[in-house]
Amino acid sequence: MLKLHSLALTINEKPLFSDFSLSLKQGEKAVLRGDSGSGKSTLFKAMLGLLSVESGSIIINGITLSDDTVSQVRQQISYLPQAIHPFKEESVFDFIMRPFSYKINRDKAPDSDTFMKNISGTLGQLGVDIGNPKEKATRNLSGGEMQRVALVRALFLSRPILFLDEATSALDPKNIARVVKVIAAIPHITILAISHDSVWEDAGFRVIPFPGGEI
Amino acid sequence: MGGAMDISTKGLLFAAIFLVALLALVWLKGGRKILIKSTVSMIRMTIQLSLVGIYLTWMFKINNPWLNVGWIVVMIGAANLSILNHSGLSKRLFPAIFMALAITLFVVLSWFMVFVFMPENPTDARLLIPIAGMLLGNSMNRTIVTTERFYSSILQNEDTFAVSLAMGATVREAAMPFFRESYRAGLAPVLANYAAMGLVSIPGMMTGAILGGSSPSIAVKYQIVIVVAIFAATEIATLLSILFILSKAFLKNGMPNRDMFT
Repeated sequence: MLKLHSLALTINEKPLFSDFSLSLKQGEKAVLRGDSGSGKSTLFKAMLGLLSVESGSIIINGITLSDDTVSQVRQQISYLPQAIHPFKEESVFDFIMRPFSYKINRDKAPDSDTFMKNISGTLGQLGVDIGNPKEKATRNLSGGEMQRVALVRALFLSRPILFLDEATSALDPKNIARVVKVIAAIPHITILAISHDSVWEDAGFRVIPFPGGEI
Repeated sequence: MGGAMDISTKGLLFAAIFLVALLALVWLKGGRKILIKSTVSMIRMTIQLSLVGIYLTWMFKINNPWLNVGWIVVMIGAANLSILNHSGLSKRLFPAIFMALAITLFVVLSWFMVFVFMPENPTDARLLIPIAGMLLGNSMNRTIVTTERFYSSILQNEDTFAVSLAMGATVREAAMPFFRESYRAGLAPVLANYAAMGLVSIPGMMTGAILGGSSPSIAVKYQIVIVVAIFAATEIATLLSILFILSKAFLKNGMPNRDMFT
């Protein structure tokens, strides 16, 4: 499902990591663990085709990442970044719906009423009660609430791979455990997370040291 | 239209005295740097306008359609350089902006010359050059404000832009929220200016026409038509500039090409 072979990445002429390989099977769940600033978030960006790698190959769901396949590769991945910046005046509903306004996702856009119920239901599972998502402005959410709203958006895109970059960094321990439990129970989806929290391995995520050579 | 009231040499001298007094005030309150900047810009403006006065007198006399169009092409080139310098875009985007301004002027000038002003000679220098100048000057200012704000907001929020791409957005889709914000911000002062027209400000063109001997009703008609033409030109130029640059200033993976920004 996800294969990285002998990857090397340099940013601003500074080598970040080299000879990094990784392989994840369909439905496998893993957490990348390494020092801050070692390039874990940058690796996610490289796998999404947002940065060019110096050498090595990235194969996502059988597609080798290149300039010509970048759009196909992105369609395989849902991505939750570390920092989430909603647009001004965006409601929770608009924030979650935004990717469905893109041409490539339009056929997956759910009908509004069912979607509203699903949003509230999934947010409830994650421990968030925001009332009406159409009326709640994203600017009024706390950091932890915003992270969980962004997680719901990533989940609703229903892609075979999910990248989570410090997805629970703004949550208290009780809510971290609750969110990780929900994520770990999602069937079929391959998940690669970045986190320093041991709760991920307790939930069955395989720990991948980064940068750690051949896995 | 009758002839305009001329300004005597004595009158010009008094304007210069007023300017010197004003510059002294600028020096006292703003310091030497601002004094030099203000003086240079005033001298530059006077020299440029004097040269244009000489050149336009000559052009109006010859009134050759090719020469008139050629002069407009030069004006587009100058406006283009100014847009690139002030919006922080690379000179490599010259052809894209040139195309945007040229299409804008062709469409708006053709429409207003053929269907609105309806002169005997649509390429008459006396009408074509000043109107083209007004359209171009306003389009230039608006394009600078919008493109500068548009690209700087994308560069400052590169992560947000990247997340949109990651979720499947095309460059145009990812850029749209940034465009909307910068477009609104650029349009707001323009609309405020239009709203105050006649109440707070008497527009320069209308004042010029009245001073030139026109009746206020004719001057008002011209002013309304010119405002509509300027509004059309600024909107088309802004939209086309951003549209044309979008295909040049981003990499194949959709991320902004930093080489295109200075």
